[in-house]
Amino acid sequence: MSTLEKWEVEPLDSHLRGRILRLLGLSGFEFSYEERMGGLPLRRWNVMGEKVAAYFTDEDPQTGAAFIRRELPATAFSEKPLFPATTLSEELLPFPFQLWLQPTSAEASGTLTSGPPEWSQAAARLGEVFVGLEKRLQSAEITILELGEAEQSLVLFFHCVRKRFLKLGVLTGVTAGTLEASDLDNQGASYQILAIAPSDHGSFAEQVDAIAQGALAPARIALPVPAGASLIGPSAGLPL
Amino acid sequence: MTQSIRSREFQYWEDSAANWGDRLARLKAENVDEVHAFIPWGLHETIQGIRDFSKASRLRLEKFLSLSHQTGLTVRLTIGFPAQKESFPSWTLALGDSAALVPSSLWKKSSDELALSRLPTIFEEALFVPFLEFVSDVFSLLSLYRFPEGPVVGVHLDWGIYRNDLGLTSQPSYAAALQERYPQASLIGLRYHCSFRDFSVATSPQGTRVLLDKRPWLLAYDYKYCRTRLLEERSQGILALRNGEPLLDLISLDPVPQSEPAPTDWCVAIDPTLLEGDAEKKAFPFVPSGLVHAQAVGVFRLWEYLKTQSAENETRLVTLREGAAPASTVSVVAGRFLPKALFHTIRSWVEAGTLVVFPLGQPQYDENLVSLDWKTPPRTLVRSVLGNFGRLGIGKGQVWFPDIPTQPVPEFWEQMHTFYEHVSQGAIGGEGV
Repeated sequence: MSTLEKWEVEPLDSHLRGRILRLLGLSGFEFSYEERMGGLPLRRWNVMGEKVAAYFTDEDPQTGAAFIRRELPATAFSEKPLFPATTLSEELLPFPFQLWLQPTSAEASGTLTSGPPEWSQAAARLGEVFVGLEKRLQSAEITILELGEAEQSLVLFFHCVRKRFLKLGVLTGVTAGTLEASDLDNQGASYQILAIAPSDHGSFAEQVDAIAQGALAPARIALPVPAGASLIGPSAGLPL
Repeated sequence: MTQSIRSREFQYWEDSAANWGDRLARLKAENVDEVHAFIPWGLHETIQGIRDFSKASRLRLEKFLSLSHQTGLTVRLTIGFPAQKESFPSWTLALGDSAALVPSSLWKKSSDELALSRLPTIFEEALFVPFLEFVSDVFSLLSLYRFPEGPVVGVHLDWGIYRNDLGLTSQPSYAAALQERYPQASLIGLRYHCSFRDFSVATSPQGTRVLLDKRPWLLAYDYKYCRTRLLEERSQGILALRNGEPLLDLISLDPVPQSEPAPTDWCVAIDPTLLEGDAEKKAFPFVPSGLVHAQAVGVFRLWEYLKTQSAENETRLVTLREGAAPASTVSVVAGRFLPKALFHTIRSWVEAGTLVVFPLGQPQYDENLVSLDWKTPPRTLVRSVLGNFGRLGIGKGQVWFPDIPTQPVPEFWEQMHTFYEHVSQGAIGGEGV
């Protein structure tokens, strides 16, 4: 039996996504989320990391200035595919934080607006970081992504074939820094261990920069990826 | 003395068969007596008509049953459509002309987005017939492993995500089910204050919109009544399978029962009629065919608020349902209407000694618009610093409600909690006025 088969890969749920947000240092930023259909408010939340406080009255929640608003088509609920193709940020980040990384335009799932501009710009940058990271994950068959350090860490497992994630989840009972190349040998055509452990910064934009730095850092361990498997683009120059 | 059975979920198909023995032995060592597993149609029949119970390592159902038996564990199995992707073979997703509409957020591991997703409907033969064939094979296999010769002590038929199907009005059978409740179309008009020529008009998209606008709570009740009836009919189709005969006494039409937490001092129970899902986990507004009504959205928003508050205050929030009282004091969040069955449930709780509070006022009518008889025996009006309340003594317990029905205010949770503390300590029991 191979080493990987011994490990349990737990699918991500809202609780684990909340932990990922915490480990990325993004859980301390407060914002409000409002969802409307026509003039009818469907939801009003004050969000701080994985903590959501729902309001059922139309009074303004006590919140910072950052906000996301979603306006749904006025007549009926929108329809979503049963098994939608999801981006890495949708997989890893909790709702509604993941909406920050979506383009603020009219879509089938509603029109998004967000503010203030400095938040939206930092969020767009974070979106680019996730797109880059997704490409990087797709460049190896097996990727271990360590978030945070030591006991508090979360170790994510990605099995990717032809740019599709066949398996994605948390390796239970494994902490960051403990896996070695020998654990991954013979597991796939290529593998890599990446680590992101940003320390907490004061502003949202600074935190995004810290995450970007981690996402671009060299792999801790890598079995060379076959030539031609592109990483995050020619300019990124990732030293894998 | 009865001994409670310790059970644990064990999804055999999530792991390779080589690991099952060790894992089952570990469970047995932890004093687990029974394992619960779902038999996923979506994995066992990836190609239509070719059902795999032995080839792929993870799908060796008989091996799993044998190992469980050898380990001394009993097994309770579920077949059906729990809200997870393994319930559906991919080839079924394009079957049929019409579709079920289900809340996306109730799907396992999904995000909290408010949207609906289309599924093939179980009310079309295009899906139901192949499912019957699958179930027939499963029954044949399981009949060889029933207790005590084997480990199988129960087979649960769970309609799962179809219990939240919001797209039923387009099904011809929906009109027939509605006709069971209202023998004549004119009776619908009487209940809803409108007029319909026949049932096909009442169940059309326009008719549904009219009924929803007139009486949203009643439409939700009627819709769910019809949905339950239609699923019961489908269940009968499965129970009629000849291969199921050796298992008949083991087959249950309910999901595997979850162990109920011990009753607490106080909990909040919400009338689920205008909600889909489960108030304790994840709920969704009642939106038939995606149609939205402010009242259903209002109940959903109130549920979200109560969920936030109950988590913060470590208090149970439950779906109001038949069964034993979940606490010694229950705050029931309901509007003017309450299903008759739940009214009787609450009365039985009170008669047995439970204290029930209706923070928004007592419900007045049932689904037939008949007055709910709270007033036998006569109520007492009690004045206190918290306001004026009606109090009814029924059997060993009491019912409390504000004298004038109210709407929830921003401090709703705090008010409910303060009131609970006062009544449970007898602080506003005083003399009636």
